[in-house]
Amino acid sequence: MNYGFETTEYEIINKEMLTDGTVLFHLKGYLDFKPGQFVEVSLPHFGNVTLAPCSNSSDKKEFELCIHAQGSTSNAMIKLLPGDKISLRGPYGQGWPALNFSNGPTAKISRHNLTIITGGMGIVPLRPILLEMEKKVHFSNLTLFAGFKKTEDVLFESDLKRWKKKFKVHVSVETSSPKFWGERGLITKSLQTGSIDKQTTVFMCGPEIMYSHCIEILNEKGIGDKQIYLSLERRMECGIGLCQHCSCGSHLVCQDGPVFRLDKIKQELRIKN
Amino acid sequence: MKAPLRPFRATKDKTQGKIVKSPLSRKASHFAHAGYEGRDGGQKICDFLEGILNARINKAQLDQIITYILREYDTFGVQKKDNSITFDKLEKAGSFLTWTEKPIIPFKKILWPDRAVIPAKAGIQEKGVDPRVKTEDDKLFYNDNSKKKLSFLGLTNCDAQALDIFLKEFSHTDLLPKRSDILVITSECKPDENCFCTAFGQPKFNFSDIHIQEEGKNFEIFALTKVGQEIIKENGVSKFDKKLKIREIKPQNTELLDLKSISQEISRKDKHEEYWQKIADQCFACGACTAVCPLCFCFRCGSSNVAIKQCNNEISWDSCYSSSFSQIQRGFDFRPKNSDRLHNWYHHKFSRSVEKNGYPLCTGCGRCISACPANLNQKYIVESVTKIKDQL
Repeated sequence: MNYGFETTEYEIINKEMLTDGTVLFHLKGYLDFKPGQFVEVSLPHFGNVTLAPCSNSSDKKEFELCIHAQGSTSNAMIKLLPGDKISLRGPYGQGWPALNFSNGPTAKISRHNLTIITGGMGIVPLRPILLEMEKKVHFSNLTLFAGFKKTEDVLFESDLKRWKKKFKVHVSVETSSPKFWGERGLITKSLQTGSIDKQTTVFMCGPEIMYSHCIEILNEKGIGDKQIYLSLERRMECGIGLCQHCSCGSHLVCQDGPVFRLDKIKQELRIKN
Repeated sequence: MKAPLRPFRATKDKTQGKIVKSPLSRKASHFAHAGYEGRDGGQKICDFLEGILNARINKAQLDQIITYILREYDTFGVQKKDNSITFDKLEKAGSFLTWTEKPIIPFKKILWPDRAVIPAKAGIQEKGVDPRVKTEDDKLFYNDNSKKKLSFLGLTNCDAQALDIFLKEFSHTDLLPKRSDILVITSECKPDENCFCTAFGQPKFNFSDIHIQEEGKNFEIFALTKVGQEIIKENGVSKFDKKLKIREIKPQNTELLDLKSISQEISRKDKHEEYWQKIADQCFACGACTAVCPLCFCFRCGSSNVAIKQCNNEISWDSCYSSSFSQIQRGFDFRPKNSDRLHNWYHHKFSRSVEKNGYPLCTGCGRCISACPANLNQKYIVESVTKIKDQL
């Protein structure tokens, strides 16, 4: 019988402090998820939070969840320690579209070109894609634009520096310290000046205000709405398309999203052409 | 001078009881749902469905059938309790009312109670285990562990149709029983001034297993499905009369709703901001309409702390009119104004559902109109959305 609320317990085996208030948990066990999907994590006596798994989806031994302290439940969750357990429902929703790559010693060089644009915590649901692309030996046509508010807010810094060796990586902070290794300014500035292949596929995740500015720049660069995928954040409660909290126009974000192709959802974002 | 705004408030219908011909009556039905037919060109509901068994029975025979159902099923029926009509666990056949007003809270309180609890075990919900457990008042709660099937007695036709739609909405999970696991008995309805089921066309009676109507001191019973026929034959009904007909629902004074146009206009919220704001200015955002609507089922997933080492995960009713309904972290709200949330309610029922399923999440029971403390008329609001130019 499928009641849709089945939960599984997972043990925390490692904990990393990424920034003040942001923690990366490593959990023991295999979570069968597609990059871009989300899970509902509950902490008894507090409540539930919606999170996107952010590790390589092919890892059979463990997976990772990144939590930023916002409310009472997430503030309590970041205090958990290795050995503690959380319960989890999901994964739910539609993830990032799969790009077909052939692999192996005789693999052809992929003609795909991928542009990833993230703002703040928006890098979390896209990290599995970046980790997966990093492992593809013959693929390097990836450009990452990652924006953060302050230097102290930069997430996955070691990953970003490692990816910089293989891909084109632009990390921008609005307010940077003098020794910061990345760029200073808004993500839109990097996007405006950066070179982007017109045939690229764009994966974007961040605040919706960022979407409207970035979409304008991408359209000006000749990139159409059908090439752009973005992840929407709405209030997810049940995750199974019943509670109606995540409705967005004609869609339920938990079922039809959270990843949408832009042309399907543009009207709901009220982005003017 | 602008034409006056058509009143959104319910007014006493001066033509009550008279059949009013709508200028739309010449058009064919706009509705894809199997239960709806236009007034013209469709099958008259007085024609029998093939194989229907019709019989005239007396009170004693009816009581025998109800007693049988009480014995074989977990039975809930329309009855009078504390001077009001309610839909509750039926204890005896004599309590069942065959011709009465609708209960204000419909069948959903049985199938999807206002609070359901997942047992405490660190919030673990095992696969294949029904998450719902009995609340304190187990008369109001359907427990999947019961070996008996459910029976709902005395639903109006609009509620029987709503039940059908309700079950379909949940059909991708096993949270609710299947229609085949519920014995549905409809009674002839007593429409009130707020009913508008005929706004969707003359309703068909194909949502129940047995239909009952009073005829003097006796009853006419129509067994519409195989299950219904087995029950009445099992209880001594053997004389059938094909001449008996199910009485039509008297057409209410309402024009046919053009669902396709309504769906399109409601989806253009930006074009009609002023219209929705005018309605929101009068709406209390109390959510009474969502509580009484048989096809509203929004809920919250929360937790309750029972004791130090015990915590229950809970599912509880919510209303899309509530101020935090679309709020996410840091208080960011996708529907900050009442007009946004109010529009969302109409959009879900008359645009999103029509686009996705081909039918609205509404069967015209009129409970929303009856329950509204602001005296708004939701049917007028829906109907008027295609005439906004004339209204504003």
